[in-house]
Amino acid sequence: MKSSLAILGCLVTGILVSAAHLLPAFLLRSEVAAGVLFVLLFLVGVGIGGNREMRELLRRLDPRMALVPLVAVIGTMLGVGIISIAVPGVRLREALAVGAGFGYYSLSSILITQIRGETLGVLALLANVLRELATLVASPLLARYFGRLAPIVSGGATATDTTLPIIVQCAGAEYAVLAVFSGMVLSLLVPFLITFLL
Amino acid sequence: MNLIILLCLLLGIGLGVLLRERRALIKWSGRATTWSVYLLVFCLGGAVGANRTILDNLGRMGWQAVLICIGGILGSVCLVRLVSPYLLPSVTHEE
Repeated sequence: MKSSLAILGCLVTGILVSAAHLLPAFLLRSEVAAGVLFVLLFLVGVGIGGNREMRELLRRLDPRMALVPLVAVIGTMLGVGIISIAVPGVRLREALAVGAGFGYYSLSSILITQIRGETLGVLALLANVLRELATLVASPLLARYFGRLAPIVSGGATATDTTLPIIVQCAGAEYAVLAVFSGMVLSLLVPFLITFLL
Repeated sequence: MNLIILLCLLLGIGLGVLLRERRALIKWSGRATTWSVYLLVFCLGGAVGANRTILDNLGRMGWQAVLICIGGILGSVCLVRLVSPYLLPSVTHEE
C-alpha cells in the first residue's frame, strides 16, 4: 500500500516536472532508461536467486498446491482475454501483457514501457496498482464467494508481500505459505510472460 | 530487447544463488532495486508529461485499466472456485 503510493507519487512527480519543462532532457532518452532497466532486472534476479526461504517453502508445501499459481495465470489470461473485447484501442496481446503483470506494477510497467512505449506502460502501471488495491479491499468478499484460495490468486504476485496480511486474515494462517509461494512464482513469471506476449 | 531483458534476469538469478550467503549484499541489491524502480517510474512520468496524446487520454486509460484489472481478478477467482474442490478435497466451501 505504502509502496504503491510511493510509485504513483514518482509517476505524478515525473509528469508534473516534465509538463513544467524542468526535466533534464537526457532522462527522457530511451537508452538511459534501457540501461537502468537492465540493471534493475539483474538486481531483481539477484533477489530471486538469493532467496533462502524458497527451499524451506517448497518442503512445507502440499504438491497439489503448486498448481495454484498456474490457476492464477490461466484464469487471469482468460478473464483479461474476454474483457479485452470491451476495451477498445488495446490489442489482445497488449491487454494480456498488461494482465501478466499480476499486480507487480513496478516491473511490468517498466518492461512494457521499454518494449511497447509509454502508453501501454502507463496502462500497465494503473491496471496493476489497481489489482493490488482491489485485492486489499475486496479480499473478504472474494474469500466468501469464491473460496479461500480466491484472495491468493487475486493478489497475484503481490500475495508474497503487500497483500499477504489481508490474505492471511481472510483465508487463514494455514494459507500463508501457499500465498508466499504463489506470489513468488508469479513474480518470477512476469518478465518471461511479458516478453513472450509482446 | 526481449532477449537482453531475460539474459539480465537470468544472470542476476545465477549470481544471487552464488551469493546466497552474503546477506548484506543481497539486502543491498533489494534496496538498489527499489530505488531504480523509483527512478524508472519517475522517467516514465517524465515521458508521459512530455506526451500530449497520453495526457489527453489519461481518463480513458483509467477506465481501460479498471476493466483489465477486473478481468484479471474475476478470471482468476472464478477459475480457482471451479478447481478448488480438486485442490482442497478436505475443505469444502462454507456456504
